[in-house]
Amino acid sequence: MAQIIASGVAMGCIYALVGLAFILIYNASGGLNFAQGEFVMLGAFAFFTATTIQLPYWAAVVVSVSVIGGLGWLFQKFLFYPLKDRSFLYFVIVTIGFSIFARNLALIVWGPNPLKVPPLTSVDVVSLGGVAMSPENIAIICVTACLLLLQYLLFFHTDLGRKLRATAQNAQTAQLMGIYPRRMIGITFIMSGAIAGFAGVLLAPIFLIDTDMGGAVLLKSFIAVVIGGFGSIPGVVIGGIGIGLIEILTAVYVSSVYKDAICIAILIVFLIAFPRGLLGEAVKERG
Amino acid sequence: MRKLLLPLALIALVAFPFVAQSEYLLRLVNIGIIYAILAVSLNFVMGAAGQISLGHAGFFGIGAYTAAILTSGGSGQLFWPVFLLSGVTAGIAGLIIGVPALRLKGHYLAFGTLGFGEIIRIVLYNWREVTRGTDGIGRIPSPELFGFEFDTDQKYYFLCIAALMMALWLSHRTQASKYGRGFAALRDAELAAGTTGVNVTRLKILAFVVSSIIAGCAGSLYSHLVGFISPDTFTFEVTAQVLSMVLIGGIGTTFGPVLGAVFIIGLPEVLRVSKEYYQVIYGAGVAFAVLFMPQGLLGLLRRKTATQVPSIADGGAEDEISITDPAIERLRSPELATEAGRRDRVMLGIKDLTCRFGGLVAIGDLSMEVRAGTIHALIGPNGAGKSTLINLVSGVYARPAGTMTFDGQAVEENTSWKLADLGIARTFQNLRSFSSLTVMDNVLVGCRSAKPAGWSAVMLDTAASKNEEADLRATAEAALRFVGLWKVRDVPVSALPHEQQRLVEIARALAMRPKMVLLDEPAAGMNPTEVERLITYIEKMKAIGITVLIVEHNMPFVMRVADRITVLSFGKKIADDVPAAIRAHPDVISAYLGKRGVAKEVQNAVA
Repeated sequence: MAQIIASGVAMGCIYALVGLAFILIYNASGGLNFAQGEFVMLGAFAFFTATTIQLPYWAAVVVSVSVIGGLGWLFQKFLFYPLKDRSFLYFVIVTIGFSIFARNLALIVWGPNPLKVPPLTSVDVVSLGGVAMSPENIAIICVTACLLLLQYLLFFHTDLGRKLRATAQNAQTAQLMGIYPRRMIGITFIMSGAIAGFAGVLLAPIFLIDTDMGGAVLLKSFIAVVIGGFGSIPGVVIGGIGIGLIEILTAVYVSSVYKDAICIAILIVFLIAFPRGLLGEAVKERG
Repeated sequence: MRKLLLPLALIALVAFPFVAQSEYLLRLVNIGIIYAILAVSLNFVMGAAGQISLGHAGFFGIGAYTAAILTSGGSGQLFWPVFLLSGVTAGIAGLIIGVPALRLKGHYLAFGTLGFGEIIRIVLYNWREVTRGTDGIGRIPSPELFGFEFDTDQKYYFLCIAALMMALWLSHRTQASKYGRGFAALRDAELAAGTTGVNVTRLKILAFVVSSIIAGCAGSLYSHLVGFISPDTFTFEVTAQVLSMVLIGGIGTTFGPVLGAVFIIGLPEVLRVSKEYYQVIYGAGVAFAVLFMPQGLLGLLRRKTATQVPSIADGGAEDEISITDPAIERLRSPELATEAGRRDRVMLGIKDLTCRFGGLVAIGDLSMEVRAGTIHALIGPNGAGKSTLINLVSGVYARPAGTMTFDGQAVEENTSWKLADLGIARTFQNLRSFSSLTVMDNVLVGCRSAKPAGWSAVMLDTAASKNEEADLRATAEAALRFVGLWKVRDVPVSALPHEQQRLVEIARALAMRPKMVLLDEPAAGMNPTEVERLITYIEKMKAIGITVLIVEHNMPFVMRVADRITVLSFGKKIADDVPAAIRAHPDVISAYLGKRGVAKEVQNAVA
């Protein structure tokens, strides 16, 4: 039982990270990035390539996370920025276009067969206070905790963080205060890309890497975002871990066939009954 | 030249299947037409009514499976009733989605409908007893009519084209009618649509249901064309594809979605490359098309002309109607015309009204009366609760506690369009025009006919529907002439300067034939000449018996027009009297200037 919960939490951390990457962009710019899952997938593929060219493990992590962060910046410059003043639907469809593009490009580059990266350590199981956990799951939980702590420090204890928050709340006023919103949004996209890339790196050892892995993760992250309350960072962490647990408990105790259906049913219940989620802001139109 | 275009296009459409020799090409065209129907249906809910759906693959799937399950292995004659039934089942799903969707807006609605589409897909995969899961359903017969079988792609083509024509005609008729104006109002400014009398709930559900019926029928056509279906066909990819057709073709236009379908289906055939490379190019192509064609394909083809705004330098005085003009009766509520003598009754009565936002009491235990046929002003410092009161009276906010009477009747209704039907019209502090419509259409949204034509009459454009439209236009003309805007009737409202957009809102309110008009800071941002003009319009409203309630900060203006003034401070009424008495009221002075305020300064401020 404890093992099940531990792996549920680990998977939930991944959903939370991807949801976080999604929310960062949403808060900063109002854009919904339907290609967030492809950033995860590309992160995993980049990590695979980095390990096959015999880079040390830590260097492979650094390289793949930076590459995906850079991709986030390019994404902002060429796909988001030209559409920033249009209905959010246009950006949605562009990100869907990008995700089709990225998935099939990955298919051409890395081939259709699922790939594997070497495990994190040679140890299979680590016993932690009587709970046996795989080192990968421990890594996921620790890295997520560290990334969240870094986020918190960045946003609430640095000057850059204050500028980022100001831009997210009102880009126009921020601009009047001498902040360059475009740079702030660029930084946000880099952060978002790096976090999603990191999620891909963390998933690589426990998942088979294939071109469809992004979509599966993204759907759960959407649910995490809605459960937590659109735009709330603590909310998406709770939502992500919650959906990770629900998923694994359903798979173990009810039926693995319907675990996706149950997750989506939860999404719909939340949307209809509690559209503000657990920690979300009020949904209202100002008069 | 243009006259020749239509017959030529028709000939080309009819001749195409006889010229095209390859079965492959015909199949592709048929699939393309079905997708075009799907795009038209998505455009109906998204382009016209502004409601996002990312679940159209679900409606398509429901239609396709209804047809497949009921006709598999059966006779081709079954096609016709089942075609309609497919529309009905998808329509019911649209109703089920539409009702909860009323609570969701923007990206929440996007996620909700996305979840719906996924649920349908999962059900199709796993409800094996009915859908046969991944095995799919085969042996779906070709449609048959009096022994004629639509068994080749060449014959099927005509069926598809007929269905597309019907979908286009439905969409076109809707956009050109009062329903289209209602949808546009809902899309541009939902709050203002409600207070202008548009039944927002009904229109949203209507949009979802009609759209899903069309999508369901497209699903049925698809099943009978390909003969075998499996859940793989009804994934999010389909929704994404259809969405890109709508956006690339031109959202909100009648023919845009069809052009988009041609583009998306035709693109890979032109490129003729291997499957993986095709997908790469398709993904990039969609992104580029959206990035570089902001108005869609149709926008590229359309000629661009600058908007000419006719000048109305004299304030439109030459077209203005006076209150003796018989057309003015079109703006006067029939009930006011008969009871005009009884000016002193209470038009709006409020008792013990309270409204809280979290811990903040915006309005606390407020009671006040507005007498019929008077100009009543509501003043008070910022944050006094004036706009909140207007929002409560017009149904923008639900009234939590307290009672309200209107023209002698207790008011139970809480929705803005029901209050609008009772005779309460309003304007907004921040402009809420229906920005994509012309001035005339903005005002037409407010017009109601005594004999409204039903949905089917409007779709068929019957005499009753034509009469209604003429009646509505006459009312709109009177309203526009009332405020001197008749000259600019065909200009897009967003091209007008600020003052005139405010007057359009007033005309829109008058077109509803209201008993009472609520004006929320009508003079804000106006120069003295414009305020003078506004005063004459307000006095004209009073002259034809309309009760006016004004919220305003411009004191000289208030003192001039108001018959009576109510002063609010922190949600409480501190004074209610004639202007002269308010000017000298000690509580009012201290509310505006603080406890140490000197009466003399107030005199200066209001003079």
